[in-house]
This record gives sequence, structure tokens and C-alpha cells, in this order.
Amino acid sequence: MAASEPSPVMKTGKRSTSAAILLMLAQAAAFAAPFPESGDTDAPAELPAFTLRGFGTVGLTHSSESNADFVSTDYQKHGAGHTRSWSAEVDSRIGVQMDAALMKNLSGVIQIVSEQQSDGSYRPRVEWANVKYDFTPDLSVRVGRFVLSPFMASDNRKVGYSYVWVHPPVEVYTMMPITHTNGAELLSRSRFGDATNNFEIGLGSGKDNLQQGPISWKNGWSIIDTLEYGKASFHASYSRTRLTIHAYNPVFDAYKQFGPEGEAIADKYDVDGKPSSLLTLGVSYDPGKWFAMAEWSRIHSDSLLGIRHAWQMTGGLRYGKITPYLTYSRATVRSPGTTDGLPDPQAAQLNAALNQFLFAAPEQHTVSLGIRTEVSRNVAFKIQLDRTRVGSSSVGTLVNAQSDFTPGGTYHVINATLDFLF
Amino acid sequence: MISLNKQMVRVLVGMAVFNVATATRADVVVVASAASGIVSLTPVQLYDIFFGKSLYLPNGALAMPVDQPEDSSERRMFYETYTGKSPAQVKAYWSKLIFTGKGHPPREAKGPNALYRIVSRNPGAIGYMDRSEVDNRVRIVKIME
Repeated sequence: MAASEPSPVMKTGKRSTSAAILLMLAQAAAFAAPFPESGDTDAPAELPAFTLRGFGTVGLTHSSESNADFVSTDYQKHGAGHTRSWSAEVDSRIGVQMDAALMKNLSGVIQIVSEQQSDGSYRPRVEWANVKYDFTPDLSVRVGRFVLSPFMASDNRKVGYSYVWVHPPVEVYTMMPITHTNGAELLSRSRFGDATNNFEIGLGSGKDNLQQGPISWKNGWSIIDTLEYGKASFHASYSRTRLTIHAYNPVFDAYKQFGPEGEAIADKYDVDGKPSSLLTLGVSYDPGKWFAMAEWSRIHSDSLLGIRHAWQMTGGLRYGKITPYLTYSRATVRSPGTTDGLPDPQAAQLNAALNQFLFAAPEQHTVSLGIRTEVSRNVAFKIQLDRTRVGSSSVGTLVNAQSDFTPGGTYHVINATLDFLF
Repeated sequence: MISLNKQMVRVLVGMAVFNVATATRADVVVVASAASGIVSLTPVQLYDIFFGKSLYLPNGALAMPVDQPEDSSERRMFYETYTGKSPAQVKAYWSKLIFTGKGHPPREAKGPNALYRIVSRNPGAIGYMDRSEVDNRVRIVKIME
């Protein structure tokens, strides 16, 4: 699919420079800067007030599957396995955030993140850029660019320090490719006795470049609710958007040339602006000495995306500065994974392409065993071992699958990360 | 036998003194302004105020939680005693909220004296300090179910 190839803006020559800068920044952050949480309130705060903070991860990943690349997001061009046996490009990133308290009820935030893009570059991207107005301390609206959180850790997934894993489980977190959205969001908080309920409604649209090419979405809306009661937290969300995966369009445009039968196939499978919905449920319990969480999700689209389920369970124990944890995560495709396509010899190539798209729907399950260690103030080190079993007619969450790749196999991934705040 | 008993007594006395010393050192109390009217909080109320889940005190006033400096023993003891969380867990919690624009950690006083000033001047302020340093400018808040 030549049309799916995103135009490379930065070529590979700059990548090593970027990696070196990332490393230097990481080292500087790890050993020098304290993480500024907030200033002394002795003096009344003068507005506007600005705070600069950052986060980052230096990661190294190895995958035993040499015929495809292990990646941790839908956006990475390369990963570990095929392109490189050991890759620093799966988890490494750096982000900087400026918070601005502009007026008594008005604040702004801008967050810029540098990490591997679909073109292989580390061109910094604006992940958050919005202004927030507080009608009351418990009711706010934000307008601009923000990240919705259908999953329990989707809005903070780039801040490795904030969670226990090396990266959120790929079966669940690469399911919905949309990251930030441009629009508006209403945030409300209410208290019922000792319970806190956080309710969000977001509206927006956006576009991005996935590993498989550009995507866009419009008329998206999300309802997200999180109920917190003591050490327990319950999470539920429903999102709906009109998603277009542009790489698919040329194939279905070609199908349409075959008359009504071809048009029927295009109608059935194309993702061109069709509504896609995502339903998620999650629960977590964290009394301190141990923790457990589980989340389940279902994506539905009358297109080749079909019906997909993904869920994960994580539990861990905290022994002082050491947190061993265990995760089981699984992605399944509930709609047919293959099709006969159009019974016309001239459509053979198109049928192969369509089946290739269906093949890319991830079906796999992973057991992960890891340890998070608090190295020093603002620095955590994690090491995680994954054992993944790929579905018998799927490439799983792997990308860049080579012709030698065999579905239905098992592979292992070793991840090590140093996460820091500055 | 007698000398051994004396030895044991010495050891026991020494242990007792050590226990008293550690108990005193670990005695961090929650304080509010004497004018706040806050006499007690439940552990859940205290937790929710310091983790930004509740923005208000039980009397309806806007809460202003105040932390001691990050490297202070009072801060570590406060979070471990009253919330069961280590400094790293507290930091991971706030890093999630900060980088998603959903909250800010408690304000941080430069030290016990600054904390006194903030708590005594702000009726909504809730802080914590070593019991031995409490004076009549602030009131000890009982933490009980």
C-alpha cells in the first residue's frame, strides 16, 4: 500500500542525535533537578504564575520474535525484534509541561512530547494544549487539545513514573488508536458521603499518523465516569466517533469498480467515516501494601474493525521500595478474521489486501511479570518479562511482520525502563 | 545469675527508653487553625483532602491541605501513618494528575515555621507537625472514625 506510507519529515540520520539528547536529558534529570510540586504558600500567589515540569523514560526492549517488531503504541515505525534485536525506541520518550495559572478561575496547560513517530522521527508533538475555566472548584470546562481517558491509564500513559508497568498492557491500550483530541470537555466532581464521583463529557475531532498510515476522526464524543470510594475506584466509559483509516480507502475504491458486489464489500468493510464505539469498564483497589486492578473493553464498528474485546488484570505487592507485579492481558476478535472477498479472479489482489487488514486485528494474550523499584526521589527503575501467545490467524499487536512470520506462536519480550520526573 | 539479671534489666530499660524515644519521634499530629472550628476528621476525610478528592472541609469551607517539605521526616511519617502510602506512591499518584491537568498536590511549606504561619492564618488550612512543636496558634485535629 504505497498510499499508506506517511511522508517522512525527518530522516534516520537525526534519530541517533535525538536519542543522545534524550539520554543526556534523562541523566541530567535523574541526578539534578528536584520535581517542583508547588511553591511555598507563605506569600500570596501572584498571577499569572507559570510552572515548568517534565517526565521521561529511557527504555530498552528485546523481543524473541525476529520476524516482526514489538511496539508499545500504534504510532511507532520500528520496534524490537525484526528491525533491532534490542531497541531503545519502544518506551523512550521525554515530555515537558508548562502550567499557567492565568486568572483566579482560568488556567492553561501545554505539554510537548518527543518520542518515536510513525515516520521514525522524534519530532516533538503537542499532546496537551488547553485552557480550563473553573465555574466552581468542582465544575470545569477545558477547550483545546486534551487526552480523554476511556481506559484507566490512557491519559497518563506517557508518564511511566505514574504507573507500575513498563508501559500499559498493549492488548488493551493499543486497541483504540486515537490519542489526543481537539475539542471541549466538561469535568465535574461530586461527593456522596465519603465517595467522590468524577464525570466527564468530551467532544472533539482530530487526525494523526499511525504506523499503518494517517487516520482522522470527527464528531467524537465520550462519557467517562470514575467513582472513588476510599481505596477502591470504579471506572466506566462510552465513546463514539466517526473514524477514517485512510490506508484502507484505495482498496475499497478499487472494490467499487467491480459493480454492486464490489460496492457491497466496500460498504461492509471500509472504515471511511463510519461510527466506531468503545465501551470500557474498570475497577481498582489499592490499600497500600498491595494493589489489584482489572479493566475490560469492547470496540464495535460495522467495518473491518468489527467487534474486538480486550481486558487486563494486574496485581502487585509493595515491599518498601520494591513492587513486584503480575499482569494478564488478552485481546480477542469477535468478528470473522477472514473473508472470501469478491469471487472474481481480477479481485484476487484486493481480496488478499482485505484479508491482510483483517489479519492485522490483534488476537493475543500475554503474561507479564515485572518489578518496579524506587531508585531515588523522582526516579523509578522497572524490568518486565512478557510471554505472549499470538492468535492462530493474527499478527497480534506486532508490526512490520515479514513473510517468514508464523501466526499462532509464542514470543518473549524483555523490557527495562528508567522513568523520571523533573 | 544475679549479674545476668542486672544485665537483662539494663537491656529492658534500654529498650523501653528507646521505644519511648521512637514513639515521640513518630508522633506527627494533624493540625488546623485554632479559628477553623475543625475538632476531628475521619481517616477517609483526611485522606480525601490530602489526595485532592475532596476540596472541602466537613464544615463546607474550602480545604487547604499543606505539606511539610518533601525531605522532612514529618511528611514521610504523616503519609505512612495516616494514609498507608510511601512517598513514592504519593508522588506517582500526583504525577498522574499533574500531567493530565486534573489536579495539583497540596501546597508545600518551607518548614515547620512556615507551616505554622499558613495554618494559623488560613481557617481552611490542614497541616501536620511533630506533637512536641504544637503551640496555641494551631489546634490538634483528632483523627477518628
